[in-house]
Amino acid sequence: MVVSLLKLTYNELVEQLNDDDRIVVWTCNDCVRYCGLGGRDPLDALADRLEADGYNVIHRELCGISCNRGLVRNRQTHPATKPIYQDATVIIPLVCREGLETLAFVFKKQRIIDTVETLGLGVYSEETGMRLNVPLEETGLEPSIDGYDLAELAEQRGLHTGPFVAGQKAKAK
Amino acid sequence: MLLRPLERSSNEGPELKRVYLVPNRCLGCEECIEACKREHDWVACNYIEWVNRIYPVQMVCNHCAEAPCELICPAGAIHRTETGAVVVEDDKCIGCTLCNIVCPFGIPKFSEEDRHAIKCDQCAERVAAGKEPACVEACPMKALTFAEVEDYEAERRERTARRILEVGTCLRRFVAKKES
Amino acid sequence: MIRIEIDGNAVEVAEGSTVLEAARKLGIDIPTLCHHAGLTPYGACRLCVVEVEQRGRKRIESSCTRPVEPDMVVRTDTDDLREYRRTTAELLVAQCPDSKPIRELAERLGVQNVRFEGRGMECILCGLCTRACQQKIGTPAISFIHRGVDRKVATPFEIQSDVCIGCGACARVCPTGCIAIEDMGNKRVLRVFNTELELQACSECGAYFAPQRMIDRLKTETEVTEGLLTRCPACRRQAIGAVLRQAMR
Ligand code: SF4
Ligand code: SF4
Ligand code: SF4
Ligand code: SF4
Ligand code: SF4
Ligand code: FES
Repeated sequence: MVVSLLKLTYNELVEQLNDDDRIVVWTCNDCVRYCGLGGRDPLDALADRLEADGYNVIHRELCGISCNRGLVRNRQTHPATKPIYQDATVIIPLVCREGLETLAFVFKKQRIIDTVETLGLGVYSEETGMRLNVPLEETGLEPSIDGYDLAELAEQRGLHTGPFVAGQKAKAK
Repeated sequence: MLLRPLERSSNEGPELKRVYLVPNRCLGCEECIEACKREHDWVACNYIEWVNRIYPVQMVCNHCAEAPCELICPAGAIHRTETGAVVVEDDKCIGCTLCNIVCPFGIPKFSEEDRHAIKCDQCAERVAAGKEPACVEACPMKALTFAEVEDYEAERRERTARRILEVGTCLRRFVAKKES
Repeated sequence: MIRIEIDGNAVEVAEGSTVLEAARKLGIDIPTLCHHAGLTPYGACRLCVVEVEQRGRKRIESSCTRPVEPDMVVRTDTDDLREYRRTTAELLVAQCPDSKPIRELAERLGVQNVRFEGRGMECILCGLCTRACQQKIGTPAISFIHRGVDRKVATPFEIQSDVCIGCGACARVCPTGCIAIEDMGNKRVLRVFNTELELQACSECGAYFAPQRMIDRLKTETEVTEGLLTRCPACRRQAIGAVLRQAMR
């Protein structure tokens, strides 16, 4: 599974939003769910918080596999969601780098906020949670069977473990 | 007195298609839920249940023979369509929650906004137009099929047979290696 | 089948259907308030009035109660009818000025400002709740009591009902939203009817999911498996999911 961490905190995120933005909060429901930064609960928690802070969230999108271009494009063309994406000005993605690039490829008119950093591949288990095992080259880390702890990695690199807003049950299932 | 006893049967007509889960394919990605939402005014009528917290199982209405929900509904708001789906007629539903309480699978839910029961209608409109239900079409893992029970079972048998065959060849290779 | 004409369109409906049903079949929108497709017609609100012409005579009648007859000619949108509906809607707004659905309906029917002195209550005596409860749930839990201006819906003697099963149908059919049902801990409270009901806890997760009395009635009056009724719907899904998972290994 792809291991990702957040680049921004909630406060840094809202600095990039304007009051008249029509916002879609978008989450993938696969790897990032296991990393704890995406999925239904983090999506709802973030959207609720944005709404409470007076931002105009027009839609909450959960896309099962957001690095799948077909599924992303399906949102753009489906009669039920097409008007939403014609109207939206900004998308806040809770996805990995790959998903982010897919979104940027499909949604050319919207601002896609740069929220995540992907570090490599990892394994999820219930005892340890997600751990990074096969880091990307640019991280300078060696592959490891035991894996690297996400919280430690976040601290070393100035990143943040998700979610943006702690919801009631905001942890991977 | 007026709670209708379970006596009527509505399981007439030919064997009909249902949504079935293909074993070991579901990822728990919830695309099926989102597809159902888009099809039904943003309320989904299917669920993902996490068994032992790691195995996702997609749950959808069974469209039971002698459906308890249909039999109990005091307003006569639930009926079986020609395509075999058990559906709620929104404007007849009085919102008594009984269908929710008697369904063995815990499927019907309530929209407090519209004040009526909501359950899977097996995408009546799509099926009538010759399409697959939305959840089946949307599943990126092909974990759902829309088929008659016989076809589904036949496919399952075949798949299992193939797997046994594969395991068999693996074993032989394993044994052969050891001998050499 | 009976053939009638509505607003210049011919439509065929089964004998015994109402004019309202025929109109809906044609996609003609007639405003209604005391009508519910799952309950018997009552004809209390008079919002659904139409002009019925038969053998050269015209009459204004409520379409929800009027059965179709051969050679009827119906008009749903004349000036007279609009005026009639507006007056009726004004009276309704006066009766329950705080109800959002009623205000919206009245606005849709062209009411600008309320002319009548209001009684300041929310119930419009449409009888939907009593019909749902008595005819469908089969409980005499609520009915109309008193006469004239004191007329209202309540339990007998306005005390805690001993037959209400707490199903909430009354609240969900009420067009003004004046019946509030609240779950508070292990109690379901119907404040307008001075009634409190014990809720049953799920044997798995402990969540309160349905009134005890509703479960008891299901146990005695139907053949629903008793074991089923001890679990909440979410735990039933979990249990069936686990069985499916087992079967698929
Ligand atoms: S879309 Fe398919 S893989 Fe995804 S949760 Fe539904 S059934 Fe499972
Ligand atoms: S809602 Fe429940 S009882 Fe009704 S048909 Fe579906 S599975 Fe059966
Ligand atoms: S809630 Fe509606 S559909 Fe369900 S049993 Fe009651 S009247 Fe029928
Ligand atoms: S068949 Fe249609 S209505 Fe039923 S769960 Fe699938 S998408 Fe929803
Ligand atoms: S909640 Fe009680 S009063 Fe209301 S319809 Fe149900 S049984 Fe009748
Ligand atoms: S809806 Fe016909 S009289 Fe009320």
